[in-house]
Amino acid sequence: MTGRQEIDSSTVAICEGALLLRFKVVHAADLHLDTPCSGLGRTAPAVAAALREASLEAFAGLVELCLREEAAILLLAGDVYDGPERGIRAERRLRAGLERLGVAGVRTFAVHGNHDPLSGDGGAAWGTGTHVFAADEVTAVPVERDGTVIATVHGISFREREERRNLARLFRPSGEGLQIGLLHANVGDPQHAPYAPCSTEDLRAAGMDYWALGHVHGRRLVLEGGPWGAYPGVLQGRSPAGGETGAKGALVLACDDRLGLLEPPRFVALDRIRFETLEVDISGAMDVQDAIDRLETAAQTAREEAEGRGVILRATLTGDFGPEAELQLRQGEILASLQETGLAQDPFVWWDALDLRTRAPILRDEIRGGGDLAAEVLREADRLRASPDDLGRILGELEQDLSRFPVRDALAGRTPAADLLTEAEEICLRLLTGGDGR
Amino acid sequence: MILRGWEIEGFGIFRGMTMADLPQGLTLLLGPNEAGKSTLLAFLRFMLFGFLRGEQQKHLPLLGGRHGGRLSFEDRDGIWTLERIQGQPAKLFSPDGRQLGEDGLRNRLGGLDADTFRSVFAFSLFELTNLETLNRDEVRDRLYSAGITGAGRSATSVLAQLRKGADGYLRPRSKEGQINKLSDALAKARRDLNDATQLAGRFGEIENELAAVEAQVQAMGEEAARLEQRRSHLVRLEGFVVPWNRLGRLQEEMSREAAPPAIDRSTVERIEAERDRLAENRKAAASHADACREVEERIAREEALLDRGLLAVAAPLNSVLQELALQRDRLARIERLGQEIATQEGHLARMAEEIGVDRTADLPAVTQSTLRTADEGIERLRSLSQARARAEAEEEGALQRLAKAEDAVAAAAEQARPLQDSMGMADYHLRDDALARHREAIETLARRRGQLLGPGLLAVALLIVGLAAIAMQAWLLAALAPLGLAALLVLGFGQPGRDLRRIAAELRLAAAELGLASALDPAEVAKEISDLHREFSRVTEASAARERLHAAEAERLDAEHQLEECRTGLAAARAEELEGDVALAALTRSLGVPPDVTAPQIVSYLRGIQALRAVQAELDALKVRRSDEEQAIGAWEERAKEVLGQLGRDVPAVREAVPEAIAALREPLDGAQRHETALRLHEEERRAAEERREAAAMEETAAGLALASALREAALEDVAAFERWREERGAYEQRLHERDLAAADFRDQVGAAADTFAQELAAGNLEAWQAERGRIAARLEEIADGRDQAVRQSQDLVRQRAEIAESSDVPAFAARCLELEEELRRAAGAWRAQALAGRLLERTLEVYVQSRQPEVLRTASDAFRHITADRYREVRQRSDGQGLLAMPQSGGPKEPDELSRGTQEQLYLALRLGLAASYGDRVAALPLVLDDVAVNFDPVRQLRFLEVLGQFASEPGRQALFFTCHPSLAQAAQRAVPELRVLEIGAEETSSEVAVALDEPAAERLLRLLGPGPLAVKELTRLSGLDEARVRDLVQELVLAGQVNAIGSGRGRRYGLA
Repeated sequence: MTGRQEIDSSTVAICEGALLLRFKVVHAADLHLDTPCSGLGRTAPAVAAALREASLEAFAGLVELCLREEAAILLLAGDVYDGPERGIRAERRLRAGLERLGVAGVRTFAVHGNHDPLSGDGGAAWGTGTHVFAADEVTAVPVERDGTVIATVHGISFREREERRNLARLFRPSGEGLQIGLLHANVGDPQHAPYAPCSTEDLRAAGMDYWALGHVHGRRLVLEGGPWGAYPGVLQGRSPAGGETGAKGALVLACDDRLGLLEPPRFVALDRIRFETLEVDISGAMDVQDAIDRLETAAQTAREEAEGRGVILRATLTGDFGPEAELQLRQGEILASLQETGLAQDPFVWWDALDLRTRAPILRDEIRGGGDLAAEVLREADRLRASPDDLGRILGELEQDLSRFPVRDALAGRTPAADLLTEAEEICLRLLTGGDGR
Repeated sequence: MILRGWEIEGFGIFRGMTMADLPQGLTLLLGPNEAGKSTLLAFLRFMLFGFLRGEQQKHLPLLGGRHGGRLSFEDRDGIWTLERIQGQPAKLFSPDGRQLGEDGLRNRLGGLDADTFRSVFAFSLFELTNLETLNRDEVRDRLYSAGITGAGRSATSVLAQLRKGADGYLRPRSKEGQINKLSDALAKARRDLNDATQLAGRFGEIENELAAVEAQVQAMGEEAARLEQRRSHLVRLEGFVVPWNRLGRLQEEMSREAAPPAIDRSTVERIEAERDRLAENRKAAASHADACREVEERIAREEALLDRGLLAVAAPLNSVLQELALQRDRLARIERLGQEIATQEGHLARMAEEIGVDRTADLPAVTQSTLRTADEGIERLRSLSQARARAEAEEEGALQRLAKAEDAVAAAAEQARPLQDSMGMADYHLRDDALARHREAIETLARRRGQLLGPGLLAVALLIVGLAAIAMQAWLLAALAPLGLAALLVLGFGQPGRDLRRIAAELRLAAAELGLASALDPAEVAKEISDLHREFSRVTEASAARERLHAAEAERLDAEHQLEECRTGLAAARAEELEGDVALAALTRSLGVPPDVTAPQIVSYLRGIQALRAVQAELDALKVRRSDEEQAIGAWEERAKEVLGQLGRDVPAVREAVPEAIAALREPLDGAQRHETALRLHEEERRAAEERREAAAMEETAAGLALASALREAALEDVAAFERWREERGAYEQRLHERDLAAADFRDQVGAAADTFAQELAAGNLEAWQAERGRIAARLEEIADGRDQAVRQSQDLVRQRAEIAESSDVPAFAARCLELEEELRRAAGAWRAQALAGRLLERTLEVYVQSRQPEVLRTASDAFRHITADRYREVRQRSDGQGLLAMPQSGGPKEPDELSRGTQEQLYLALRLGLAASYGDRVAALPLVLDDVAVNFDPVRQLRFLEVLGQFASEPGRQALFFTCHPSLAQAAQRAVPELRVLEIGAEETSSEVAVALDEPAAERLLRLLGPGPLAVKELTRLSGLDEARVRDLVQELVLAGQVNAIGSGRGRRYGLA
């Protein structure tokens, strides 16, 4: 034996590393392309225009992310559209983006969710290189690179919006490479509609390496380690409430065909407009201007955290604030002033609403013992509370005035009568007692 | 709330008015009419609530001060101080010193508004009767809602606010509410969304239409392409008809013509070449013969012109000609040299004469060193002379200074002479001191005598009175005699007498010191002192003169010393000057300077010698140069004369003419040499021309032979036959060429398919082709129109499709709908809450008024019953709730209108007490301030009312201030209400009620008119332009305010500034 050299262990490791097939997967869900934002009051024209483009631009960002990361696979876990009446603009942008990925060699896999069930698809083209899973049964599609299967993607679509089956139980591992489950489902979250309900145990039992989930709009890691499972959340927030606030985007997975995920999913923000809710403590503020300054300081922080995006804010003001009555009285003016200041910035900050919770609680017992009109108001409110029919009759009389206006739908989620009575009672007491409720 | 006091800075007629320690309970403030009671009421209202709108110009501070003041009050938290100045925010200082504003004050007042305070708590008779019914809503509000709110607004204002707020959201029968507007906007947005959605639904239809149109366009395009191809073919075919026909004609002509015989091309070319060569050779031979003849002629002409004699002396002649210009220069130079030498000679003679030397003698050599030595000697001698002159001037100065010093000594000696007979300075000072003491003793003695004069006279008077009493046996006064005597004795022999005597002794002693027999009187002493001072002045001057004498003598000695020194220096300077003079004389002698040359002229003499020598040297050099020029001129003349002799020409006698004679030969010589050269060249040309003529003849012969050989070969007789053949053959070949060109042209035009076209042309018909082409053009136009239309339709569809595809209208309108729905939801929610709050408050008020009314009426009934001494037992509300009823003990109920005025007012007062009590019980007890509201009551009911008022105010925390102008009422009230406190409003701080309405400019006008002096009312009326009654009122006010005094009484009363 002559001429054979000793090879050190690091060289061996490098050679072994070179033999491993590493690739990247991008996971997004709930794109709700080109659908309007909800829960917002009227916005400035510039903000409205930006909002209209936000979801489409976020999708464009997703395409850029796949290309930048040289991803092998893009996973779209349902609710690409908000409903069956999808915009042509959205379809075209989606198709163009997916075709661009197809040309670049990125395989796209998609399932239909409750917002865009297969029954309402209408045969819209997804573009070449995109595989859309059928409903009714789970199918598996291998993904090859250089002749080797690096992953097998399993998925199933919603046929109808009301999908109540536990679809996770239909998944079984097959084929080679990384086993990916693509599913629009509610994994034990009572806050969301119970479509395709399942549990984490169901997910574990299915034998997948990674569950690419959709449906829940807040980003969440459902399973950690082996297997992994995650909701990436919506691609672009659409409301200043609930799971729509904060950074929104997609997850990037660094994978190996044999070792699975090499690291926890990495979040990349892709939203174009950031929705945030702020709670601003204005205790000790000298005056209203001081309170406004604190709000603007908080907005500045949110703006910096948004990293160059436009920001839509809804703020709750808390704390003990002396001139609360003035704040209450000038609420509209303050909001308009904040909106004006925020709009002048680039990128903009749009204040949607201010929620004043700076008032001291109304001391009902103390008022009740006063024997004055305020106490009488409390007693009258108690009487109405005890007589829902009277209250209902009064409200019915009042709402007669609303009959000719198209506000029935608007009042669909209206405040219950008892809560409304409490609110009315508080209004009276604050006005009668000079605002502090004592 | 108990008012504890106030301080009015300026308010109406009040300025600096204070009140302190007001008690709880009932207080009666007594003041006559126009004492300012109503102003005080206004002040208290102002302090607690500020002015109502339109009141700001009332109660201006007529007497100055800031418009407002301070008020202190006490409640359960302690004593508060309120400061209010018109135009500034009120300041309320809490018991612990914190400063609060209007809000804090409103809290203290239980949220009461100004109107209610005026109606219920602080009112005058007018306002009492103004609140006359209970059936008006606002009255009901005042009676029942006032005080039922806390620190906020009245219930009615809250209700109004809620209604206004709800109206802002929704107005069922208007378009102004927010919900109304949002609903309209939402309906429009939904219509827009529907339209946009329908438009988007057309996307598929548009795509189908577009596909059909595009297919139509494509089919038309294909047909048009086919037709274009056919039309193009026909156009080409038509274009080929002309060349095709021309080719056919040429081919026909060639087929009928016989061709000339053919000659080999090389033979033709050889014949043409030999023919041309022969012609050229002949032409060259003739030319060469002409050239030979021409050269011969030129040679003959040159021979005739050639001067060979001149050529024989060409070499020496050229030599002198070359130096001819030089010779002329030499002649000119030698003349100039002669002139220069003569000039220098004259110059030299003048210089020698000026210097005074013989230029022929041997002159000394003068160098720069020599000149410098002489110059230094002269300069030294000059400086020595100057030194000697300065020494002489100094000696003169010293002599003058000595003379002045001697004069000064003589003058000082004269001034100092008086000193020899004067006293010494010490003596003078001793005498001066003695005189001063003498004068002081005189003055002391006089003063003491003066001091003793009064007591002395008194003692004498006592003594005289005592003695007189003794004489008159008035024994009581007789005691004065011994008293006066004793006083005299004490003055004469006691300490005063001793002092006088001691001073007199000192005076005498001082006189002795001065050498006087007795003391002097003060005038003499003054004269003595004056004389002494004059003497002292004279001595002082002489002493100064003596000092100046000493200084002058020292100056004289110094001048003498200086003169001596000057004389020594002068001698030394003279010696040095003599020495320098001798040295300079020795130097000039050594330089050969004549002895008669003075020292200042030595250097110029030496410079003259130096210049003379330089001119002489230059003159010598000029003479040498003239000699050299003479030699060169002579040599050239000799050679020139020799040439002239050889040519047999005359030699000029004058030197200057020789160059001209030589110069005249230059041109003939040049001509002879030119002719000689030309002759030589012509001969060479003749030889060459002859050689060329011979060669050409040989060439000509050879060419003729070769031509003949070639013609024979072509079977032609001669050159003329050859020319004819060539012409015929050329014409034939030209026609052949034309035919070939036509054929080639046809092929070029038709191209590869020439054969096919040839068949078509051979078989075709031009008219048929043109007709077909017309049909095709018409069809193509049809297709173009249809295609354009289809393309436009397609573009339109493409645009529509792109617009729909990229339109954001649907999401935009959807977003707009969502936004509006959200706003509508918010607005509807807010409206529901506010509307329900309003309804809740309305219901509460109804219940509240119903439940509270009896309490107020019960208190009012008690008060009314007491005031009317049970004549009326109750106050009730009418059954319809629209008014009050007074219930008498007997008989039916009475409407307020049925009551007498006094009883009506009692009813309303009773009602106010009920309201105030209710407010005090529920919210805050506030002070009652009543301004003469009982004037219409009979005395009994006045007292009974005051009893009720006292009873009301005696409750804890309550207070009532009752203003009246009736002292009798005050006295009666004190009996009726033992705890009553009566305070008088003093006249000095008050003015009349009229002053409240006093307009400041009018008052100021009267004050200004009164400035110069007192005036009567009529005069004031005339001057001021006001009516008389007004003037009387104003004047009265000003009198009360202390600004004006009344002078006199009755008709003669006048008024002047206080």
